[in-house]
Amino acid sequence: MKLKRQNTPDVDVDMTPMIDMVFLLLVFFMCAATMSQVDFTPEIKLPVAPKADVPEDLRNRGTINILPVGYVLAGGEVVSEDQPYMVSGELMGKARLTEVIADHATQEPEMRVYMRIDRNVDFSIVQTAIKACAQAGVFDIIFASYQSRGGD
Amino acid sequence: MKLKRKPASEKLEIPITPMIDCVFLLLIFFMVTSTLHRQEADISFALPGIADQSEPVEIPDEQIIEINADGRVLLNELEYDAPDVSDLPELVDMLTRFKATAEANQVDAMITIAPAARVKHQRVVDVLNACAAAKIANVTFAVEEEM
Repeated sequence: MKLKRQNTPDVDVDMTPMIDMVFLLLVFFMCAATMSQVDFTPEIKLPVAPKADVPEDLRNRGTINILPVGYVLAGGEVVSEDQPYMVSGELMGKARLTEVIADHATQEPEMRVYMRIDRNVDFSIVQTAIKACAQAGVFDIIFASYQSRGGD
Repeated sequence: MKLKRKPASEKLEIPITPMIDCVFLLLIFFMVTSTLHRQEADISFALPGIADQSEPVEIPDEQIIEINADGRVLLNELEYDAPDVSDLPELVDMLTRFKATAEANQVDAMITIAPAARVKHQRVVDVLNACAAAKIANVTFAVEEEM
């Protein structure tokens, strides 16, 4: 008996959907990476508070970074007791800070101040920032913290 | 003159393999860097604002926690926990009882924290953390007036 030889079809894997997906993921992670960089100074060692909760609502936040006195920035600037506050990469003192918060608060009346404070900063410096918030009319303040002591 | 016809142009194929390699590499890079970023959590409080006088004002039960420059935590002149203990179990226990008493009396439990000027921020957050552990949401700071 003669068997009919089967014609093996040309197996062609369609790459297009995979490339689409990979590009989509790439764009997502690129966006996520750049968005999380906004006004986050990585040098700050935040305090640890195991009972702090991870927020779901990140809207209406204005970030103030408070750096430890004596810290040298990448640009060579040294953080002093008169100018320990950093907003959008600019070091400032109390007067300018009040101005900046008030300015933000007029644009966003629901604003909450998110303070990223180094764990070794003295309370007197934090207190000045709290006073600046009160003067600018913002009463909702959040301290940033880590939930666990990881690696440091 | 007879022109030589060019040979039929070869099928043009763009090699996508190096591109896919590159894209995968970038993808893995961004995935790794985004997970390396440590998750930040919130510990919040509200400053005393302006009270709305149209409603009857309920006077909350207020306690003041003092923090000394050496890290000692005092509530009603009594010291709780050693200065190097960060989770403050004695204070949490006391605050939990305070919260229960306030609830039984149907008033708001309120904590005012009064740290000394030289207290490190970590110690202030330790006390805020103790308040969060006792589920007291009404926390504020004492701020002296500048004269």
